[in-house]
Amino acid sequence: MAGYSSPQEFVEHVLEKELSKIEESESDEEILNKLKGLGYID
Amino acid sequence: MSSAAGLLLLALMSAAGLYFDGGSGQHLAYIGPGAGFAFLGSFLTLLWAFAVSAATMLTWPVRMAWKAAKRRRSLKKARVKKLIFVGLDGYDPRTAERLMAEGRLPNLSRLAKEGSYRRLRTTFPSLSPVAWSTFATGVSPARHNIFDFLNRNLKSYLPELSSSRVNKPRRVFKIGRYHIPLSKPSVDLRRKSIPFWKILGQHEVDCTILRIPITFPPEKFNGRLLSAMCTPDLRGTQGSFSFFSTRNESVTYETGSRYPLQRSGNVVKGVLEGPDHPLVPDAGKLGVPFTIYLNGARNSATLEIGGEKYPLRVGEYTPWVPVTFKAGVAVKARGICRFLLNQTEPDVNLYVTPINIDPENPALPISHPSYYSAYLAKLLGAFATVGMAEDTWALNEGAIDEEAFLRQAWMIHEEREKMFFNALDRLREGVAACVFDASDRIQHMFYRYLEGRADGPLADTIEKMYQRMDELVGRVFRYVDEETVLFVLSDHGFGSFRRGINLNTWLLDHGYLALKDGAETAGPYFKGVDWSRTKAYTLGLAGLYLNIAGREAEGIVQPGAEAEAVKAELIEKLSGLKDPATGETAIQRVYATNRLYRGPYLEDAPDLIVGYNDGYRTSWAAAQGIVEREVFTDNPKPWSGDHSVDPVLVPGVLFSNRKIAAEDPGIEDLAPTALELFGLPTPGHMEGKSLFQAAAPA
Repeated sequence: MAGYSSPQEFVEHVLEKELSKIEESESDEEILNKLKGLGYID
Repeated sequence: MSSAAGLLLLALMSAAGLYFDGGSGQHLAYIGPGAGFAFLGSFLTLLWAFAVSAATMLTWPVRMAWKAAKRRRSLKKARVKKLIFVGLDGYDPRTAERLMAEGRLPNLSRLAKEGSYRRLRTTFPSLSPVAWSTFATGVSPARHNIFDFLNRNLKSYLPELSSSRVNKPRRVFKIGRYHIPLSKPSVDLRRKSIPFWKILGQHEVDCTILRIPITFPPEKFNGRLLSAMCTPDLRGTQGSFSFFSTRNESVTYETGSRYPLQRSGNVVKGVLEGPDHPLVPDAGKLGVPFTIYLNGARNSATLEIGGEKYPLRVGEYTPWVPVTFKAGVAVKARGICRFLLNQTEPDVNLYVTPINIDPENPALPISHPSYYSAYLAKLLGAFATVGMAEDTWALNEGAIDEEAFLRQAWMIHEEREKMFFNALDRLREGVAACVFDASDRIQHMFYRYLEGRADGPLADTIEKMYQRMDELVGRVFRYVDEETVLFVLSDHGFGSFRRGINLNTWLLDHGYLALKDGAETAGPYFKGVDWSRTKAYTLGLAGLYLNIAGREAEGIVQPGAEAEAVKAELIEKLSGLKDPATGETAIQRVYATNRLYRGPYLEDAPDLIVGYNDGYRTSWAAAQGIVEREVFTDNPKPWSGDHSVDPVLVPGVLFSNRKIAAEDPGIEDLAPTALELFGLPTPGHMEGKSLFQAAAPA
């Protein structure tokens, strides 16, 4: 629990980690489109 | 089912008022970032809503009395009535101190003399999303999970925005070519922990939080908040401009898009491209046609779009123009943009800002409560909503000139000033906070003038900006009394960006990264990298990652002893790295993140943070995961200032009207300070300390 702001945050983090294993990835095009315009990268 | 049947179904749903905005503006479809439609309507839902509304109205007096009593109880130990934060992104102490010494920042000098001034420690790395998240939460990145603008996807090695994620609707009903979403798209905030304003809200302390980075999507709390950095535009990007011309040229932009204008005599026609079609995946983008009527005079014209007419003058921005993208029967998404006519002869050139989410009719939530953005827009006029609204890429790519960029940046700044002073006007007890971005964007784009690498009529732009921010602080003084604490702070300072370093290329040259088929270079986002022989890579602005077995999809470095050994090697070889062309030290130090901070999200952090020297930064190519031939390259872009360097080189500033005890304050100290001022203890998970508590002896 160290470092979490609440037990709820801890539970959410555990669930997110498990869900990320089965999460579908977005297409390359979708990902790169979302980053367009971020000043710091070309 | 045929297309006709699909359309019929859409029409029926529309008539029922369940999915679409039938012109009332009350059921706006979610088009654009994460296209989809809400399907919430039903008789039971309406009945429930009616019952809740009635109960809310009937219990209002009791709830108000309860809240007032709770606030009185909570604030018994409060030391202040009002707390005001003025955030000046990137306001650098070296420049500020010089200008104060020259007597050019009288208001900040007054604060320093009568209250306090310190350099403010920033975060590792010294990037706005990281530092402002620490400001909000009082914890290090390992506890709030924001380490850079970008994260890498552990499965694909592709970049992701670190702060939020727009998820498509989970359930979609397919009818012929139509894909009807049966749920809303969700937007996840990836910043963890808890901001101080949420804790204050729980104790009935009123907070208005304006444009503090990494607040998209807006979290629910007992107060008001307007989202900022990383809020997308209507196309779902971080802000992509449009450039129109009658000249048939094959120019491509990295970020914006070039479109043709068709001219016939004095009539010029074009189509403004918007978001993807929300219902038909392969239908391309939605568009809004527009016409420009040239008036005969060389410098003026009339723009007609959406049935409205707007005067155009060469070199002048229009006011915010509402644009509505229609995807069929009453399916629409609303945005706002400004038009800038660059020239009318011999060719007509027109620049259009990124299409911002309309704050009056937001296609995605950009404020809390959701109506707060509409309230501000109705009261003060339309305003920019994109996270990084100042269009740095349009200047980088020559779509606008420096004068036009500056005018745009200051127009956006004025919008934020209006919001902030509106919040200050309303503030009786509680917190008002606003971050102003123009200080950061102007330094990025004009730093070469400050350091004497360029000259011209705009050479003093940065110094004038510092003075204008000082004047802003002066106007805040009239809201400050004996029961008010004012903080003026920046998240980091600034330095020069003359040379870029491609650490992917360095890693290739030194055997830590391998390419397929003997290639010498690799394309964006590691196209061509042989992960089965790669130990380390860089992506984004400050981090080096090891290719860890069991963490990365194709990791080969064993966690534990082997990983620590590779890190130690890299730290030793890269610290003090020299630029052979200049003889300068390009990298000061390399930091292992597991020695910098501790927390539950440490496993998502870069393994190493590279402390570039002033004048250097990760190259534009390396930030995208490109492997090129040269490690060192010149930076020729107008974007000539940066702060993605060793954080010890770029502290921020901290001014207050009160004497603070801390001699070496850090940005993590502001959240505990805010809580303490309202009589609340610092939660155990926070790592900062109140600025009014003297540091414990070492």
